[in-house]
Amino acid sequence: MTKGALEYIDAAKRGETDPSKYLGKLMGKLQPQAERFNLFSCIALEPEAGKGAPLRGLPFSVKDNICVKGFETRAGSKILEGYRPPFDATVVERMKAAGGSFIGATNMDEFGFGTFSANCAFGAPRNPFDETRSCGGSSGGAGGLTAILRHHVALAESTGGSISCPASFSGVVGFTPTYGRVSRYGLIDYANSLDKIGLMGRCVDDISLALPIISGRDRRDPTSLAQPELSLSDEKIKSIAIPEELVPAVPDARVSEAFSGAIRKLQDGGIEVAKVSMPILKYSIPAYYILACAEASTNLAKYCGMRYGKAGTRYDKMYDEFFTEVRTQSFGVEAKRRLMLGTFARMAGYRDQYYMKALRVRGEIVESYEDIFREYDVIATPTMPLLPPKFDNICKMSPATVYALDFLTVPPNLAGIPQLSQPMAYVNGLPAGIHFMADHWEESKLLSIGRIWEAQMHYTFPLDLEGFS
Amino acid sequence: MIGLEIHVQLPTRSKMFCSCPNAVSDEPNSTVCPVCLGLPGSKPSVNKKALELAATAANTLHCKLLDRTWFSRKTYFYPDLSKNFQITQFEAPVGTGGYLDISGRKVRISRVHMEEDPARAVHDLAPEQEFSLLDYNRSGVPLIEIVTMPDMDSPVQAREFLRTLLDELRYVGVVVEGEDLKIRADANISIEGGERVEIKNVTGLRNLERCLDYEHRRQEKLSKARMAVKRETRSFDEEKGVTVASREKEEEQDYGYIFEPDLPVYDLKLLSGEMKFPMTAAEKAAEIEKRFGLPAGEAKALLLSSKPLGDLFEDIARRVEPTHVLRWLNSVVKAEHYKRPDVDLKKVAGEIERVIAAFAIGKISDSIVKSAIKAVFEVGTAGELVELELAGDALAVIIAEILRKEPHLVGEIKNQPKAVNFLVGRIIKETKGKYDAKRIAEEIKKAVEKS
Repeated sequence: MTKGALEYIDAAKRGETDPSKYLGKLMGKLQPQAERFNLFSCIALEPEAGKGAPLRGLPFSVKDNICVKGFETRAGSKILEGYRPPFDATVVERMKAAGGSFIGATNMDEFGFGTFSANCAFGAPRNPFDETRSCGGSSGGAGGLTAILRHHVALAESTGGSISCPASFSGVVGFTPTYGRVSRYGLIDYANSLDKIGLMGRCVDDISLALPIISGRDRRDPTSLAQPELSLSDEKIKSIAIPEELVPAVPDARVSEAFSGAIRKLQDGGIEVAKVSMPILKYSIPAYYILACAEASTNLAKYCGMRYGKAGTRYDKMYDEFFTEVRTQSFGVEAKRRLMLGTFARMAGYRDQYYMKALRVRGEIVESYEDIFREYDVIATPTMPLLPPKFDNICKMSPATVYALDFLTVPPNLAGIPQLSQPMAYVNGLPAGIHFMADHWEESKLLSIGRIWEAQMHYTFPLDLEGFS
Repeated sequence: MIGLEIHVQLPTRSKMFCSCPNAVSDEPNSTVCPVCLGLPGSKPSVNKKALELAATAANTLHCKLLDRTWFSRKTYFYPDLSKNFQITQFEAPVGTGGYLDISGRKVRISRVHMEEDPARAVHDLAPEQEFSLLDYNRSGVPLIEIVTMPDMDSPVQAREFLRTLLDELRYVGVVVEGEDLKIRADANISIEGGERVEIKNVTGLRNLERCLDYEHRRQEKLSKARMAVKRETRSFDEEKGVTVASREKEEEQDYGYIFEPDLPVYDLKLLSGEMKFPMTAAEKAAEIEKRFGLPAGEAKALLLSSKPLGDLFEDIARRVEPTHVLRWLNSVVKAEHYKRPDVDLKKVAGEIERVIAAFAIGKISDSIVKSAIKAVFEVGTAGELVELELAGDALAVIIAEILRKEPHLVGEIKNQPKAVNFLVGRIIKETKGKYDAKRIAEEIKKAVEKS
């Protein structure tokens, strides 16, 4: 079984390793590898070793859209160049307080806009399993880093699948909590009603270690205040539902076969498996892109070359021309596409037809999941419908093709339910992930099914960097 | 016809979505934080007190309170807007469908909603300066916007409406003293046969009155000259006192409203059940009139002018004939209270009561009441003024009052006895010849010797 962060913490607890020495050694090994795979947007040059329980100096990385006090935080965008937040995000504050050592900000698609991290203004992170392939997106750097670091957790973020997708492509464990479980204070917004900060690690234990640290109410994020208490207790998983509309739509037979194999194993272990119908899910992709882009187009309005980030230069012009210059030069193509799409969807005359209708679809999707969870403990699908693609192929894909690839991860994100992606098979040396989902606030069921799966699955990683020796 | 959109700042301790103080600061950009500066990563959280005050305002204006109210984002690019969107309310404002009575007429209120104030921008500092300055101290200050139907027929009515509105809101604590200088409004005004003209961003009650007067006259002139009143947006030039056509384009702005996803939906019915709304001035006046047997409408003017005066009335009227109390509080006491806002009414309540009580039993005259109340506000006590009249000697009281106010006269008369004649002439004039000169001179001498 994979040993993750606990191996380090146990050693530190026994006094067998000194956190700052460990960190020093690790960073020396990490730097060239992280550069090779372009995993960091900004690496902490002389990281400070965290102190105290429970993390005892365990390294943690932060997706580039989560604010770290005084540390350049750019959300993968040129427009935020030079932005050093004067505050820590709540999750960063809590990780530091729990003894975590911050090691750097990981690369991502600009503002989270993408499936392959290829829309990162600072270059796409490359998959440590095969450098010609993507780590997935939008938390690609977090995925790649987790794949090469033995003792580490990554703070990542998902809007429509941005934790599960890179977990699947990078062959690691990705955990997206229920919307509202983890404070978003300090997260640079993509789509606030969908954004969730979550975790990546090498095993379920890594998740159960860090989840209670970052969870919990935060008065600075009112959407975090409604949560019931987090439970980590082991639960009996009796049944798994498989949405029958989704799996047959997977284009890569190697992925669907691996999934059938995984399900058979779980079934052999005594879990009831049933096919269920969720026809409303076919509207997920349009509903998601309308809502996410509508919100994103308001969130990105603030970037205007004033106050922080990239500064405008045309002070001789009127305000419109001033900010148009900065925005034209600094936003990437995908950001501009989503700005236009989102602005259109909320314009008077189109708002009812698109934005309001998408909200209604979202409501129905939530209900549809509620119906399933009344009868079943968890839902399972493959995480991504394909193996990590080559960059050569990615650049040939149209935006609509890329959007459609999110059909497995977008529905649970629209519903705000927790999700867990774990490696389920290796095809020609490339990882493929299985995606488990549970009802709102039932993170404990996901961790339980995750442990069941891990008991019979051997994970392999391309590199195993640590700071012991 | 006149319709108004009025912005009123709420007197909360902290701003609407962050814990920065909501206070006037001389130092620009000193009461700011990541939230009101809109820094990436920051998130708003609602100040519950602001929500309560907004609900109180809506309740005072007889609005329906929605059981579900939420916030929206109104997107437009402007340098004073830290996020380039404003958190406001669109579909579900705090209150809808209310009214306010003025002189027996109902002005309908279509909505009361909450929003955040943008920063303050200072343009055109000097002709040669090509930059503007921004002060974000105001960014995120809680506002309510009150939108009326076009139910006012004249600038006079609009003025009465605004004054009544401010009085009513002050009574329930939604606005504080001085808001009449800060109140901001957009006014829509049209006359028969003409198009609607919108005047944007007028600050202060006084300017609003001036601007409506001017615009009304302008439209009437055009109409008399048989010229069309164009549909347009104008602004008010405070210095010249005229409205001028704005350069702004006339097209409808599209704000692309979406729900504010960072903030939850609020149940106002629940909230208003938890918080007890204060009695409105109208309700309180009706109660007082009934309790003290006063004619309908008598108490309201007092309550609206100042809540402490209303409280004082309730207190004194329990022991002194209410009609007298009302009469004096509504006149001299009110005038002195306005003149000297620093005097704590509670501290002088006893003295005010002593004066009015003396009047009520016929002990002192109207003019003595006036002098005595003034003395109460000036030196904290009516002193002997109330007692002197008991001796039946009104002349002595008048003289004592003059010498108290102008103590230099005592010395002058002592040094230069002829100076008495000047004072004698003045008193004959003031008392309209009620006393003869010789007696006045004797009384003055007595008073001067005593002092």
